[in-house]
Amino acid sequence: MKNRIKFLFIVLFGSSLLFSCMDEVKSTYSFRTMMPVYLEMKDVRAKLIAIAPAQEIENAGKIYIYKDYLLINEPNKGIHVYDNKNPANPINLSFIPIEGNIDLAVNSDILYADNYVDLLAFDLTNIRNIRLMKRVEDVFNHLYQHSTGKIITFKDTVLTSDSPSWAFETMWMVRPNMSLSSNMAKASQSYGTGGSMARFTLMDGHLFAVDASTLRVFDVQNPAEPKFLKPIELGWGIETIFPFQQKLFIGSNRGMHIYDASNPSSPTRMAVYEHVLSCDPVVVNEEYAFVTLRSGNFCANGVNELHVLDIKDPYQPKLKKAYPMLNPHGLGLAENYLYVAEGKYGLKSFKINDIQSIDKNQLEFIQSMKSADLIPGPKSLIVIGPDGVCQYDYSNPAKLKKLSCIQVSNPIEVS
Amino acid sequence: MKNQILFFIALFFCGLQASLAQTKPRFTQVEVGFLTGKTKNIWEDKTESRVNFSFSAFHGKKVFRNQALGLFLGLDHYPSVTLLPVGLGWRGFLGKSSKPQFFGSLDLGYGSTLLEKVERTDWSSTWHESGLMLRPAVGIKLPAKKGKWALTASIGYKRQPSYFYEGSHSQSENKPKIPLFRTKATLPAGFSYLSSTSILYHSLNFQVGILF
Repeated sequence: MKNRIKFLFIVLFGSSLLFSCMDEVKSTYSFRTMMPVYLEMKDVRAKLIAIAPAQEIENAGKIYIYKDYLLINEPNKGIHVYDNKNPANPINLSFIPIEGNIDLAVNSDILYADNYVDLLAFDLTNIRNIRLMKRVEDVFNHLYQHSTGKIITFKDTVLTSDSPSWAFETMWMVRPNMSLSSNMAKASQSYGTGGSMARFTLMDGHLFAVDASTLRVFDVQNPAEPKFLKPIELGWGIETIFPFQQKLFIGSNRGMHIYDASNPSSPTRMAVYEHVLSCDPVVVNEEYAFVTLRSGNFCANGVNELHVLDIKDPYQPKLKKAYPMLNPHGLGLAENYLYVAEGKYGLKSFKINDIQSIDKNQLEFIQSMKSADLIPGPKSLIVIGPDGVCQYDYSNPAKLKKLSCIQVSNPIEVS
Repeated sequence: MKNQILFFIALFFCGLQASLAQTKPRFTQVEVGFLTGKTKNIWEDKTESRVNFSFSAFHGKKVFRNQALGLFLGLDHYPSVTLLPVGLGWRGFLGKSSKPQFFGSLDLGYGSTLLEKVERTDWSSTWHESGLMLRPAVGIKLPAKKGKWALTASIGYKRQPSYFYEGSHSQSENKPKIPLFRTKATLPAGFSYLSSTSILYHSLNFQVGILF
């Protein structure tokens, strides 16, 4: 028995040295990128736009308040229509499917919305029977890829490869959060009329639309028959547009442009207030413009400030005071009160009677209310953030009261 | 987190010890040995042999006359990662316990990566994960002439996966969560880039130990 055990022991030990198994080694490389998607506009135009039943919001884009309704853009997909008679209980009514849509505005019961390179006009007279009335073709033609005549859009895509070099050799090794289209998409998220981060705005029978570099002017004096008038080059980095008293205040990542729109069909530049590279929406009252500068994303510069500019002479805006902020995103003005969305830090309200001591007149700082943008509406303060689209009773600016939140399946991330 | 997991493992073993103490017979087997295999060097595209240290401790009780079930905890030191497998084990013996016996064993568990550090900066994270570990083996048990202890020697096959991840964050301000267990997503939320190297270790495992 002992010999058999010795023999077995030796065989076991020896075999473990002589034989061995091969490991399975595999590497994969995954990255998120913006893949180009090429589309023929004739195919897009051929599709019938039929109003669909209410759908849940995946991503909340621009928000527009129209009468008792909330119009919420689903970036690149369409527009959700909510009945907001009771802000404590908004009711999802319907969805207008519009490919490539990122912005909207309403004038005299006519909804204007972009559809890739085209501008569409819908009749909202009967909110339960919304109809497409007019299509103005080839106005946002910066989306055209000139060599092919097709439009180029970008889709957030995850690619996986088993080659480490492949990801870097291809031209699509783009960090989506750093890409221009992402920046534009981010800019299209949230915002709205009254919102400081709007890109479509209406004034004096004209629709003004800004993209990254151009202001486009439409005559909508006959609301059902929008006419494209002209493009005006502004320079790169345009982000937001805010109309006030026949002037357009255009926020860019290099500064604030002021345009005289007393002749709305042909706005002319009055001044450019330049500062450091930052992301900056603008709101305005009779005497002052309030601009937030923040670090993050495309416009990283490490500056987080609220600038108050004297615009009594719009040809010569002057910086009156700069206040340090945490990470200000959108902002909103309602009478003598200023509301600032501080990203992940929360939401602040200020009394602005004395623009030299706004920081001393902070009324409330709600740290639990993470926010990217806000719109002071007639019935409620609409706050867009990680919780979705929330509405607050702001009749007492020192004590906001939550009324409701519309859930969003991919809520905006704030940083 | 790691301390909590270690605490629960210790608690689990202590609880088992206490419960088994009331229903003898029970035994413990402590083994050391090595794992041999061939692995592919992906950077130089060549095959290399490896011999790695292995340790395991099994504590069980007899559920039939010659069979035992219990828990095991091990340590396997591979070239690029050290894993702590933990799980359930079975031991089956042939013949009388007072004489040399052949035995078979099967260990089934999860390879923990508690000993591996998660490296994080604002822009990137690197971490290890593991998965299902399986070790069937056969061996012999040589009882001591005096006392209740025995020497054991076994040869087995050990299957154990290891995953190494290097990821870039989408936003420097928001560090994404590192999945606690093996992630199925090609790109978990919050990452813009992720490289994943998976190695499924197939090893012959030779171990010697004592049983008491």
